[in-house]
Amino acid sequence: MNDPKKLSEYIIREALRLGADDADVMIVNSVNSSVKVRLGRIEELKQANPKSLGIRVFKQKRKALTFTSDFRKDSLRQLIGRTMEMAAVTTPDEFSGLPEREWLGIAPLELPGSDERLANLPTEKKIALAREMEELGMAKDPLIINSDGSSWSDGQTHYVLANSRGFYGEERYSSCSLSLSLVAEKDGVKQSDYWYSTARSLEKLDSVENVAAEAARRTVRKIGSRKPQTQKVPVVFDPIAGRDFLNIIASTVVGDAIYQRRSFLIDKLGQKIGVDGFTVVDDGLLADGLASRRFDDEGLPGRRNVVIENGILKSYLCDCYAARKLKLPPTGSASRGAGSEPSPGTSNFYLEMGPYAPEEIIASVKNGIYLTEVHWVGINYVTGDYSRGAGGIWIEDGKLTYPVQEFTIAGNMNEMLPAIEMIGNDLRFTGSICSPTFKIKELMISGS
Amino acid sequence: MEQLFNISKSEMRQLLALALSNGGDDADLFFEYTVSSSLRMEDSIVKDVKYGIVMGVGIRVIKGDQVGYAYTDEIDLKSMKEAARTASYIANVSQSARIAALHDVPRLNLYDSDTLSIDADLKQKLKLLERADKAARGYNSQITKATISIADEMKQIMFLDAQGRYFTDVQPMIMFRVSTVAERGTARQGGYRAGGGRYDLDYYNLNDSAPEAIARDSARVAVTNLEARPAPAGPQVVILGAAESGVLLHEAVGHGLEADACRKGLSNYSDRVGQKVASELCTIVDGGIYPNLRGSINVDDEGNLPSESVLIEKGILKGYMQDKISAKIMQVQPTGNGRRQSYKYPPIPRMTNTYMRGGGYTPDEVITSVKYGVYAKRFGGGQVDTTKGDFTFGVEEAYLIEKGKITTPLKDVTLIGNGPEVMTKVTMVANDPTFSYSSWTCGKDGQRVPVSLGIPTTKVSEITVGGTQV
Repeated sequence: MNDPKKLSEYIIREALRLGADDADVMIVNSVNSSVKVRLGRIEELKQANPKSLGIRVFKQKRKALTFTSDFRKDSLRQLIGRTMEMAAVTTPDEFSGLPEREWLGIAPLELPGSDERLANLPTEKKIALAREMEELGMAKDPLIINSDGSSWSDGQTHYVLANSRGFYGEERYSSCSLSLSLVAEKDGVKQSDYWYSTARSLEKLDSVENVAAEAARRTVRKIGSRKPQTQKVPVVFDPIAGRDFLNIIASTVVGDAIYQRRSFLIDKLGQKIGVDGFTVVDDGLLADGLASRRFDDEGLPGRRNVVIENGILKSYLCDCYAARKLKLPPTGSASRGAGSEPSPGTSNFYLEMGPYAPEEIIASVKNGIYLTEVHWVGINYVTGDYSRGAGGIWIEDGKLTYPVQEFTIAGNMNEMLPAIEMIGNDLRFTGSICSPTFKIKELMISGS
Repeated sequence: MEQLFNISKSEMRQLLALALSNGGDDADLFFEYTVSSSLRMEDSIVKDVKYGIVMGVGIRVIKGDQVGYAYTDEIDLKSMKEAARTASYIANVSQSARIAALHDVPRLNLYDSDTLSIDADLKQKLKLLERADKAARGYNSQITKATISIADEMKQIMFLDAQGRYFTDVQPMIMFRVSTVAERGTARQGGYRAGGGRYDLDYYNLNDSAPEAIARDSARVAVTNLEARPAPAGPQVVILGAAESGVLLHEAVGHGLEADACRKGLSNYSDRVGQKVASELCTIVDGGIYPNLRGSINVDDEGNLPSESVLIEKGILKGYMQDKISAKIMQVQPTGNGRRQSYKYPPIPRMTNTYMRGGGYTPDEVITSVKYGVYAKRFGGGQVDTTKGDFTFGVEEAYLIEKGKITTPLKDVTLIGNGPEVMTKVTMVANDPTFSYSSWTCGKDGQRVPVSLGIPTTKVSEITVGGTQV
């Protein structure tokens, strides 16, 4: 049974026949390929056709989830039976269940769909692109002495979501990416960094020249780095560091973090938590957005949600469960894979642009840090305490000077949000979570 | 196991022949059938129950340091042949390896796979969750939330390479996790504790790993941290608590000693075997051979026996963690560190259980030697830039040490430093080396594998502590 629509219909029918009140099915079929070149030689060629299928059943407010990559009919029949047995073990939960019928729907959005040009791109061409990108990157600067690989990857995915309340949605999409990781060395100290581009079609992908140039620039600018003194200074977040900052908001503004009380944003709906001009949007309908979608992973239409508007917390992002539990409207924010329960998440999540050029923001700092790299550990979502390992460039008299490493920046989100002073005009949608440059008045630097 | 994958040994040899049809030094087949389950309780109700099957085969062709890899989720000969052909494209030489006669490779017996938790009645697991929920909530009235889960899996694998080396293995894994939130007025803090390994459900009958013990410890951290004050910023004397601080070895040293990074000149430790890279108090070992630990394996994912490899002995770098490809290029023996997340990935050098051997002091002597410093008792995650060796860690439970005594709890301590540099600053090592049984999972090149780690109570004369207080 290879037709996903028929397969989904069979599973829902079978689950209802076994006594389920409701059921939904997610089926994902992909074709992936990747090439990694290092120092001009192919290091790895990879191809695959993964698939998976997830079944959720609901019976008297109890539920269970199963998933499999074995689509044989006998195996599936057994699995549906097991799903029903498992549901019996759980506790009835008044908030669980499929979306209400009137919540379901598909937004009228044009998505790029499957990119035929990409699907037909020969392996030789992918190898050539990766090789060219590495050569270009390595030639940019004599300090670049090694490569950790130049990679191409692409994939085509067919995705189906269907439920027993009449929803059926399917989507075909492509993705491709280029990434280059370089190593530079001076005075016996090695530094590495990387750059990448990712897109839903070949046409939108950045050129190998640009990716190579950026990877080289990011690597070489780390040479000669120092450890800064422990002190309090203004911190300018570049779009990469800014993305990390927005990621923290993305993890704490979701409904499950709220009802699990694992968020510093609890009980703050409608309150002023940040400065005027600090507006954060989650837009599932963004033109060319990498995470744009016509429907979310529960079958609600994709939509645009203003999360924070001029510093006021406007909405928590909710899937149906979180919405019912928090007595809030669902926001079409369900996100899941075939093998996991839905939970609220983001689509295209970004900080709206401000009026300042990034150069102006840097120029406004007499003594401080231009933050270009933030490590992922060191955030307490419950309290908002922030203490992250970081890297960047020291700013003196409004000018970028020498690179700095091996320090942490620390503060608390509740104090950092009201201390944002200048927001840049350089927002680019290079990923699903994006930020322009911005400045925080003062943060603690812990170094030497 | 041929039955499970619906393939005969002669068909497996055909696949290898096809994989090597364009030449190559070696090829291997990795069949996997993994069943996983989990049960999660939140607000004292069983919220989620999950069960899943993942099956497929990964086919690899090796030519020198080059790899062709393909996998398929379809266990039929036609799809597998197509995958073999795809993997073969890496090679384009006329000379190809001969496919040798099939023979079993030696393997250890480190986990009891006769009574698998995956087959246990869900109600048995549910009881464990209820016990933990009760213990967490009963710990203290300040505990407002408890989320408890039990997750387990059984991974059945079958391997054959062109040298005829064949094995099968059944790898169990179980993990019990308790997250708690404590609140007092507007103050709120979280706690987390997990325990498990390659065990069956009997593990949770033991005193230290009973659901109550795990739950109470999670609650204790949440409640303790309600009293925590901001950490002092800047360089400090740091005492690494036994067991979980081993993650510092994993990040600061371990990743840099994986042979792929070393042979490519991408590690701080490249070309440094025989050199002094740490204080002479440090002897650091990686070994996949300890019963029931998360990182332990009867045989690695390309047919080599795990070993107890001394990476650093009394401060001197002895060797690297090897997989098949790196060992051949570096002309050393494989160390049994070739691991992969699943059939979807080729094996690469990975840590198993990384730890530091004990020293001559009692833990008490180490702590009392400190006038002013930070006691890092329990670590969260960490990360490292292997090329330069810079690392960062989050510490979930930390205290101030004043005049040789552990005093105030500190909140949200982050440690940052350079791995090789920190290892030269180890000044005291206690006699209490302990492994951690928490849910450690290591990520590298997009692949996640279970590991364990351990360390005795250890004094480091200086690490930069991220904090907000000057």
